[in-house]
Amino acid sequence: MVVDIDEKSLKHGVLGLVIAIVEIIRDALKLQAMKRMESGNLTEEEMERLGEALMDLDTAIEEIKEEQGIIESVKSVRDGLDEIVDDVLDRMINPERWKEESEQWA
Amino acid sequence: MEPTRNSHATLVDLLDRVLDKGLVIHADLIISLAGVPLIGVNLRTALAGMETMIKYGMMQDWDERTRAWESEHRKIKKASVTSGERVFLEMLGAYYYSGGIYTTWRMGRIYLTDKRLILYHPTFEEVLFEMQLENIKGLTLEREEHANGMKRENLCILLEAGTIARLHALDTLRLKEALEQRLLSLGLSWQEIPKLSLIDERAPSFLGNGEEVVCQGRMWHSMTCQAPAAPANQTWKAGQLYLTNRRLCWWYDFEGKIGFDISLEQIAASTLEEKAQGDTLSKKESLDVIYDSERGRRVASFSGDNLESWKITLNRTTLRIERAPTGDVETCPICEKESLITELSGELCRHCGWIAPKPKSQQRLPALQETPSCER
Amino acid sequence: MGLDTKFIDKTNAMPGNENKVKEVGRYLYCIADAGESLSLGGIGIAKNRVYTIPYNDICAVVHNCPAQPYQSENHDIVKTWVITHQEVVDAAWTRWGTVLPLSFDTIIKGESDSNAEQNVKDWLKQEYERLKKKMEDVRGKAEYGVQVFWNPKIISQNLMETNQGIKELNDVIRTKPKGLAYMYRQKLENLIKHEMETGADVCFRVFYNRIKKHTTDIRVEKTKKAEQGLQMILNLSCLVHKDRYPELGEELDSINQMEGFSVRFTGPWPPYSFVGGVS
Repeated sequence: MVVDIDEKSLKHGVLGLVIAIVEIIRDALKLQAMKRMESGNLTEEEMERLGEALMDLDTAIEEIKEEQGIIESVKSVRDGLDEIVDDVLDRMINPERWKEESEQWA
Repeated sequence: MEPTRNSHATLVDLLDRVLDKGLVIHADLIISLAGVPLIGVNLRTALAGMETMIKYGMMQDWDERTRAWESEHRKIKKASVTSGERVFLEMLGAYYYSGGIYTTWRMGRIYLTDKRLILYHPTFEEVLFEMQLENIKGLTLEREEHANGMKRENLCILLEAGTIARLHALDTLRLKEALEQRLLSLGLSWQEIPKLSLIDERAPSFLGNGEEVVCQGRMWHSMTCQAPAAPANQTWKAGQLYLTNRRLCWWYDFEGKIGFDISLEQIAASTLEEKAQGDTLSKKESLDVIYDSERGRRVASFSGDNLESWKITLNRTTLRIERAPTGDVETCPICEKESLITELSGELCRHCGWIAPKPKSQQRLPALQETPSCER
Repeated sequence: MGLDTKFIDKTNAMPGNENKVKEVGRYLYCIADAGESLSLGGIGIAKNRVYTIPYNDICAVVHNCPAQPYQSENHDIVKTWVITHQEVVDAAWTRWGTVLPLSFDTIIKGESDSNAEQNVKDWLKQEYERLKKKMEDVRGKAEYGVQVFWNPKIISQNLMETNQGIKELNDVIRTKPKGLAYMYRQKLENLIKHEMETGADVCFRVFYNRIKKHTTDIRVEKTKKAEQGLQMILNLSCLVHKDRYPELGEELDSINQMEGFSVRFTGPWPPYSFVGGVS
């Protein structure tokens, strides 16, 4: 019997990736928003609107994750990304290790 | 404080030392590639069963944990089977998950053990689905048609709680047979459940005694967001609308329960309207149900497919109910379904066709003259 | 280096390379502080017989193996090898008191049995002075692992109660409408995060100095991912006199009792972290 590739399951995995990226962009947005707030160039009303918009974004992301059952998937994607970044930094700090490892596989 | 070193908890500390530290010799006659880790970080994490340690907590006995660790790693990141549990069958499979915006088949590995049936996702180490064999009350194979015309077999399992799980496997038939064999050897009994395709997983949880679903469908319901300061926000939430023989109710997917519930008598009318969608300019057709509540006349909006037929069905139901005052409902003695008393005694049972004998008081005298069967 | 150059070079020894000459090797566990020639029995990796090759008043603890590193895809097997390695080092440590442990999979090769044996002896001879010095450094001492964790939730809670700036900000948030409150909450989170980072640095320095007092040598290790919401803020390897570890234990006790902090004290280990590299 053949296992059919379920388009819906593929979508599920891709959705996890997409939401992980959305979260990262959301974090960048928050960072920028905070910078503007600190700079003192925003009025109270502007800050209020910004805050509400960001809050809605947070809620929307959480709802999607819960409804799609991808909370763990998204976390896993982000943890994986963190590990990769950590690894690259390690190699930058210790280029010797990178060199030796590449020689090992040469 | 006393130092420790001989438990599984300190395995990581040991590995850190034995693999990375110690006298390192750089010489041509040394063939362990000096300085270069022969064992990568990932392998080391796996050796120490780091994830396991995190999940189960650090403070446990070596014996107990070695056993669990070994049985996990012997299968290389397969489902965690508690010690003493035997695996009878293992194959690729999927479980039908219906909740949220869309429904999907979640893929993984199906394990049939002597105690339960599990679907496990190896990469995320998540148990997607689990049931105890003793909770299985019914089994059946169902044929499902796919959009591309292909038919495929699903295994439907009716559980104790009344819920239904849908599974598909690489060899669904073999899974069913193995499952039946397991149930037999455990001395458990189950039934072949007929015609499952119309049964919904959620229905049993909210239907009352004698209540039946007349029709149902995927519907978005417009809910007012509770925002104390801000103006009322209309948002559409995903769910399932049910029309039963008693009420109209809507299941809210996100919360996993009924979010709207009115009895059929409360419905005044149903119409189709065009509504603006939030801030966008696009208009959406919606089904507006006007009903009576304690707070007066209200409107509930729904959106989805087949709105026209929903409207017609609802209006027909409303008319029928309005004909009879509440309470004039009787149970048919043959099929035990409810109908209006006027229908049952006046005409026939809508469900099975049973005709009620006329009570004597309604018969004209003399009785003999009224028996049609005696006529020649 | 003064060694016979007809030794086959590193690249040839890579697994998978065919060689006309059958090479043999000596798997090195550790160097012990005794000139004995002794067999420890079949306690080695893959149940090999472990014995010593002496030179002067030191010896190498080895077993005979093919000239290839031990490698496997099977995690269970590798785990067994590594644990066995430690068990042999432990046995040597118990027997002779002072050992210089080696990393897993260190193998000296040779063209024949006697050749491999000779290579070990030659290397011991060559490194004798350095090895003896290291023995002195670790004599009568053991290595202990010390890790200090804190619970970010408890610590940040404390901050909210004690830190003036944070308390004030918290009060301000209560008075603001939804959106502004969100923005200020973000600001609060950033502030707390910053305070925690400086706090971690301070704790590190304070604890490090307190712990250092009870050690003869100390190494800072990389902090690792911790479990159950805890964060590792200090990871040390300490070289301590075998009978002086209780003092270290007491110091760690007082740290462990601080609210929000917990300590992991492991050991005693043979001094893996304090024997360094030899050329």
